[in-house]
Amino acid sequence: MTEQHYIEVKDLVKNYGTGSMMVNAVDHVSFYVDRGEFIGIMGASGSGKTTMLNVLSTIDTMSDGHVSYDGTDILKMREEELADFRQKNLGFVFQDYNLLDTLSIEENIMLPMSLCGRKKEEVDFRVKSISETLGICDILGKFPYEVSGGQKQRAACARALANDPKLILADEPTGALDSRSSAMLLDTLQVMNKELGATILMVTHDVFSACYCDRILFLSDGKIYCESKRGNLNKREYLDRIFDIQAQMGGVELLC
Amino acid sequence: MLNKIALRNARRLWKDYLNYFLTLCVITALMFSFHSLLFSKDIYEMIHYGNNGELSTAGMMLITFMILSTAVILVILAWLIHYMTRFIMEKRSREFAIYLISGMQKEQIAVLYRKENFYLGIGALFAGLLLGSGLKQVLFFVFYKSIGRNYEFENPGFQENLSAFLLTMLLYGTCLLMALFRNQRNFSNMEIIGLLNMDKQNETVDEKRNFLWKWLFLLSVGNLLLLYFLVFTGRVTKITAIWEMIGLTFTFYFFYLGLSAFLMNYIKRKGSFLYKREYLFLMRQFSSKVRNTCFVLGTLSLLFMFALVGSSLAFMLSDYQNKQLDVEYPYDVIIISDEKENDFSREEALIRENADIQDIWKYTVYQKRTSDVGDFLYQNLRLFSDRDSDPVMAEGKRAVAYYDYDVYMGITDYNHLRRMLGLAPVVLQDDQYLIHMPNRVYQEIKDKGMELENSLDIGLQFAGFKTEGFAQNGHNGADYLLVVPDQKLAEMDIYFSLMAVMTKEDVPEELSEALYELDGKTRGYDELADYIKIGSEELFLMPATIQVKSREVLELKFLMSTLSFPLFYIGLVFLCVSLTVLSVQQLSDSNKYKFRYQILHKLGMGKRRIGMVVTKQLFFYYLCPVILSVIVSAVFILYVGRQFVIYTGIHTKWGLYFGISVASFLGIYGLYFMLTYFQFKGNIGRK
Repeated sequence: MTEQHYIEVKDLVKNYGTGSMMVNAVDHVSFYVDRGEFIGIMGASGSGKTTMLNVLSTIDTMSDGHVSYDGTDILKMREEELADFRQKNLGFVFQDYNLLDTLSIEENIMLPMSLCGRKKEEVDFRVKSISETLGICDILGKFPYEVSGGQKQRAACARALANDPKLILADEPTGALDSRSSAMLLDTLQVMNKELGATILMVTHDVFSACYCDRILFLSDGKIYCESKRGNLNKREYLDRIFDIQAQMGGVELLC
Repeated sequence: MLNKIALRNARRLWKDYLNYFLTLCVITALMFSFHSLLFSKDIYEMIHYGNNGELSTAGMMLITFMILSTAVILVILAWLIHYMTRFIMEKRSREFAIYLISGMQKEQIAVLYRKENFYLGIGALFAGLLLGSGLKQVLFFVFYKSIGRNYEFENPGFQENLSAFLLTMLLYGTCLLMALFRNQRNFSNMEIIGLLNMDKQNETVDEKRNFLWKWLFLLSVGNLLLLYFLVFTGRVTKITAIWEMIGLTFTFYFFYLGLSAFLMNYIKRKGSFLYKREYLFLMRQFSSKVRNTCFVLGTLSLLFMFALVGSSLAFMLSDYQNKQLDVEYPYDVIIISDEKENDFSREEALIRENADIQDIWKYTVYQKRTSDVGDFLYQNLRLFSDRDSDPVMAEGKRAVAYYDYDVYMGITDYNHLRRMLGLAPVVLQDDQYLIHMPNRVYQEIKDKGMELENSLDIGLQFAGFKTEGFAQNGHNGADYLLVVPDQKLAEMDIYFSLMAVMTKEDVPEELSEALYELDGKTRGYDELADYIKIGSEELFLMPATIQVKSREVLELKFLMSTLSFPLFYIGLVFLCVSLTVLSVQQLSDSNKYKFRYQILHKLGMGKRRIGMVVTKQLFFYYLCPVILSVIVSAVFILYVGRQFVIYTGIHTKWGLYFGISVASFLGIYGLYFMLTYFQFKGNIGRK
């Protein structure tokens, strides 16, 4: 009997275009994510990271393959079922925050719960507890344009946690942040993972961000190049290993 | 090169701002149609008379109202073009920044943008003219129907078309060019960085001064309640009306500021509605949109109000026209003469030559050198309410309205005249008299019937009032007629001779001119002999010694149409302009804030549910200016409806006409709504 993983991706294919113009953005990729894991996906631009994230997040369709969450295959779901699935099972953190500008920070966090039709008391309690954990209580009444990039991204994390999702998908979450805010955000993600038990899948090309992950999948030209587990390595050691893999992949030349 | 880019951009503008383009087409089509009406040969003949081709009263009114409505429409058209060119310019700021970065001069960009808008405007003009030539036929058909004539579809002469075409071109072109040159200034203040960041500026939520706005909102609502109170309790005076008008202007603008403040406060207090699915998103969207566009919403509400009031008034006038004509002109022909022995033989012969007579009656009215009823009405009618403050003016009005002496008629003549109209004869005892007066006058004095009765010294018992239409604008008395037993007439003097005629079919309109000519007079100059009085009718009265119903009806209907058509015209244009502004605002938001719906999608909203959110969002935003304008215009129309009763004695179904106006406007509203909805959904779905 094979072991059942929390999220299983089997032979995932995503093509764009047709005939001679067809591009394999994701080419027969298979991997898994276990409950409570903090997994990273790294790769150069055009390696298929974001495409894969979009398919996993059900906002894009796959050309072939299977993706199952806790045994449920999303391929078999219709549009409205997928929307419902997204609402109840996934949380998102994006590079450009994606907070609604007309809603205050508190309301942005409330929104996924309101959309689910949760009760007022439950919503208020959860907003309070998440914001306390992520340290954003003092900005709840403010609007996104009134707070810093780092605060916005932490608010986005709080929103991603609102519905207690099975998986949090983070797409280059530190991409628009300065180094201090980036470090604070990564600490926040770690808190979400370790203290709140959130499963996180983060796409990044930033080595420093990647070293916070438990495991990293390296993508190249739409295929998994290799996988690296942190194990007992400290951050410094893990960072070196990531650099080594990138060097093997040709990333050093790119960086130079 | 610039020309090529301008043409290509104009084509893109056409697609992106289809609603705006269509509205320009519709306005041009309406302008062209109405101008064609003004230059029509038939209309020219209808509004001119005499050998010198002088303008008739109806002609003067038509031209005055057309000039007024054209001026109003020009202002609103210029505003629309100016608003839209500025709006589009802001939306394309990034593109202009790229032009600047590429080395283009500000002046060149200004010329390019002017050209694009010019091409778009000219495109709309020619499309509108094409549409207008079809719409013109419809307008002519409706106009002819409204004045009781049949319109035969025909190709008007080149000259008529050319005049209407040139006038439309001139007016539209002036608006277009003025608006384009006004935008020139915006280009001179351009900075590249500002342009680059312009489209990145997100909507901000201004929650400052909410406390003040909430109070002003309460004041606005209070002002609306006061308006209803004044109208319902009949306390509208000149002073209150002026204050209310000023108050209403503020109400239109503060209402939306206050509304958004209340909503924001509700959201801050975390009202339970916020937790109901998408309402948090919707309420925030709505409140911030209302706050940021409160001035535009206020202006649109005003335009809607004018459109609704204009259209309802037009319907009411049309209703008045239909009801009042039989009251004012019950006989096919009626002639009055101060020659006591006039037997009207020449007139009778002429009428018999031109029409198939059903009944003809020659009779006389009497006076006994008293004016008790006239005195009573002078003391009690609203028309003479300035008798104490301005007695000279009031006396002057009385001299025009009433004969020197009260007018009497014998019961035999009276009953014959009633029978001619299909009315049951009345029975009058030898010691009784009755008073026949228009319903309008009766409504004003009915509560003082006893007072009137006591003020008369006729030596007979009062038998009551009769109020059917009875040619009382000078013929069968002016405003009133005392009907007495025949034997009572022996002690009176003959006042005037009259002849009333009913025919089997409609009398030819030209008979009117022929009857005047018979007396050596010209219709248009000599309708009013110096002896005839006209009563207290103030609205569209056309008194004349010789009244030929078909001719008078044609003229009166024409007169009414000259008023109601421009009202419809203005109403339609206002509506289209308002809807265009609402529509382009929403569509531009759908482009700029596409990401909001993408976020909702990521947060687990299916396409169908997002479609519902968009429907609700558009519905609330579209409904917003309508509600306020309906509230204000309803009470306005109620007031005017009541004034109608006072001035004409005719009860118009103001509620019905207001309802028809609202329903027909909502129909056009629905069209714009659907167009916006589908474009909106297309925009947010586009990757």
